[in-house]
Amino acid sequence: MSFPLSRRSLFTAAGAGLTLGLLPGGLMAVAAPGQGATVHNWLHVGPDGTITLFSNAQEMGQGGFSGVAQLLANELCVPWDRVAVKTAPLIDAMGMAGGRSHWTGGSSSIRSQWDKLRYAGAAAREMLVTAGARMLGVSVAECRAVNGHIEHRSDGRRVAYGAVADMASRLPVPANPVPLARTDWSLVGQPLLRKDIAEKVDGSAIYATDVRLPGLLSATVMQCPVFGGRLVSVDPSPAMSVPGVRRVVPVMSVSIPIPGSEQPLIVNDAVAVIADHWWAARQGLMALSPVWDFQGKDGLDTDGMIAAIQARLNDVGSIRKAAQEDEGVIRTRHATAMAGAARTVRCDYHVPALAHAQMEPMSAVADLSAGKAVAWTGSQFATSVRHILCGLTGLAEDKVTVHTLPSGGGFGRRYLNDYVAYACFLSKQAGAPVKLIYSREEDLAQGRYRPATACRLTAGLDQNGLPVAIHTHTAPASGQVWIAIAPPGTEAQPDHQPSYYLPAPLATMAEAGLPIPNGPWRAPGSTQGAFFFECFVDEMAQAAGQDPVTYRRRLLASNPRALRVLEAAVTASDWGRDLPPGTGRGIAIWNSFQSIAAQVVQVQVAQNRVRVEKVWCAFDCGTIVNPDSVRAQGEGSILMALSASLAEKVLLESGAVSSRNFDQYTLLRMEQMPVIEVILVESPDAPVGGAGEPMTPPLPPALANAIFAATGRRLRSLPLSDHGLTVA
Amino acid sequence: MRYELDVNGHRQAVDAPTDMPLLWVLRDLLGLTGTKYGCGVAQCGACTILLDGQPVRSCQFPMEQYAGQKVATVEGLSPDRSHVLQQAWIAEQVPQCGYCQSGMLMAAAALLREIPKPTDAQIGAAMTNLCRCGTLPRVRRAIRRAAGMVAG
Repeated sequence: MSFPLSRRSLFTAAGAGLTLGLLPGGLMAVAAPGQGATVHNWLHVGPDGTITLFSNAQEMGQGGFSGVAQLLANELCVPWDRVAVKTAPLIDAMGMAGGRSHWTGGSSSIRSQWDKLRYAGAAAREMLVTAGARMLGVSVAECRAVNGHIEHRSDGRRVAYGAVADMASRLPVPANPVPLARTDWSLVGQPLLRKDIAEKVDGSAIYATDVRLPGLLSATVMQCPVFGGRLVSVDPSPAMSVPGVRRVVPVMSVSIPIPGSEQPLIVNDAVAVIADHWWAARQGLMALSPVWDFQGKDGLDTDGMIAAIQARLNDVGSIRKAAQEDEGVIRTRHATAMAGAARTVRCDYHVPALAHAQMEPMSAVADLSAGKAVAWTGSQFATSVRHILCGLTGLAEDKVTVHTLPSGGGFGRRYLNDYVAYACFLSKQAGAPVKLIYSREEDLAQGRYRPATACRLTAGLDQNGLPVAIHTHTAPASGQVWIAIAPPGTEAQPDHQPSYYLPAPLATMAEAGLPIPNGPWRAPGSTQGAFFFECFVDEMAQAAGQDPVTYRRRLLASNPRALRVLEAAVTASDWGRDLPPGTGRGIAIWNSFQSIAAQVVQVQVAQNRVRVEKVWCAFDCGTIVNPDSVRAQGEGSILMALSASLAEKVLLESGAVSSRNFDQYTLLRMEQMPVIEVILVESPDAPVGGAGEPMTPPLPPALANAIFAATGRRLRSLPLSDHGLTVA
Repeated sequence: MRYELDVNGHRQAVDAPTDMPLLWVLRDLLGLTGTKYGCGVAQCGACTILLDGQPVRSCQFPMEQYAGQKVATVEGLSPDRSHVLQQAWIAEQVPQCGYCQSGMLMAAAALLREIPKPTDAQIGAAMTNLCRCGTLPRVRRAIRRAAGMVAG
């Protein structure tokens, strides 16, 4: 396993003088002598026995906030019901992986910090055990940590952590703390209650939209509806006549210098209204008629977007390859193998742009009044929030404060901090703390969308129907979407790709470069790639005259781990059983975030009405910290992908998004929901994988394959509503 | 305009524009932030509250329509998370991001008041709230649990 931060670098920081200690009062810290500040505090064992764990995972629903603490608590051997979890402060050593940067995404909170968290917990446990042994007057070897106590192994005498926390804080840091053996885990692998759930059943959880401060004003904002348009002018008077409106702020040509970066953050031109409460701000904004300049930028509509990406399917495109590989060699190898194929299969696909549509519209609170620089956000990228505060105020990093709150859904959208920049800018302009909330219309019209993507897949098959060469060519509206395939004999599969090793692969891409903002949408790239490729595998299977499962088994012959996941889905669903007329099943498998997910979908179709009856999802993320949380992510990933497949499609008219609320951008409702069964498969020797995203990609292709099985119709694009199918 | 509201059993007076939706009166004037803004057009249900026991999407309920009804919000379900739905929500670990859950809970409270042992079809018909995290299977399970229809 390789991690960005090794255990060694955590505790020695390569000679930079980091030491680990429990400070007086019981605060465990990695402190830098001579640098003054505490730079690291993962946990606090109070003299009164209270145990506080600090989690650096921003909670957006995925359970990472609690999951990080569960991993720490396991190593520390403390009872879960005695543990309190708080948000880690924004200090360097508590950033993600080994870096200074605080962010949450990429299904990485657990997997990229697996070693770091275990060694931090182990070090603290060893110091507590050493102190406990001294108090008991015995040797360390005679003691062990049990349930928040140090216990003598043979006579059972015990002392509580709290009683020795101060003593432990004065002990030297273990040079080589030893994490628990798997057999000694008490909390990892248990379906513990998440620490953030209780406050979400009585309205007491505080999101950015809920922050209250003395003198807090509310704001809302409108960017040019046409992407790339500029603000020419706005007459503020219609808004100013709305009771409660304080001011209208034109946001024109604002760029925020970002410390340490040559590139400033460019803030889109916009009009904002600041008021005593949000309703007044919204009414004020609706009353305005800003003059925008979007000449030459208003030509794009939904069909034009799809046509533009489909046109790129005929481009040669750029090639995906490792630095040391030669493009000519790859292309020649591919062409030669393709020329020797008994037959070829070729299909074109496309999928639309998608909005994140998280339930909390983009929102942030900022106070840049009177020399202050404080922000409250549910951002997935807290370090960038800090940069914005520093850039707007000129203050040093240690003079600005970022409060990270839970968010009402992220899915990648909150990695982009456009809304934070507006909140900070408006607070500075108003000289007062400001809470900015996008209207839902603004949220859906100014997204950072999953880019619409077209794809052409071509395979050469041998006499047995197995691929001898394969070409994936992707054409995203903007951004990067690849389908890379590892040839047989590759040591490790690249991530976010098909689960198969296939011969003579060629991956090319031609980006259409459309002016539509894009961003990460739960399992970026993979939600497009899996749909294209796993639908295509069914087409290859059909050409080979084989059942989709039989065919995939042959393709997975050299990947026993993925084959095991496939078989788990096959077994759970009893694939191959007789089904009633009009009922069909589809299967798909995909690798992402170092995890493997295989899904079987069963549908019943009658007169263009589709009933999605059941989804079986087999999932292997290596080692599971909280199985109930992983199941919840499976349910959530499946329903989000299903919702996207049914009727979600960002609509464009004259260069602007016209699907601006949930009446036009429709999400799945309970009556459309299938039964979901998640089957957990563990691979203890594999690297720990992510769980928040990798169960998303297999659903759309498994659904399309199921509809083919039920009806004989191949769907090579989404959503289903484009094909006249409705979902009951 | 001055309004006398009955919110969670407390009488409270507020000055609000007549066209101001009850949602923003609760959130911005009374500080009851448990009720959420999600869409403003009564599509998502995050703002669901009860008016005399009936579920209402408060983002589309202007104050001029208020006629002294009893308003119940998520904060009023119980003082200590002991309401049968709150207990079921915790037991089933329903929330993910949690933002839609206040509305879900209030819609579920209205449902169980009307139909103490709802079928799945009745649950589906009543629970039209949106949830992007995909908690709907657990919402349904928790309602069944609260209705005493599954073993705790």
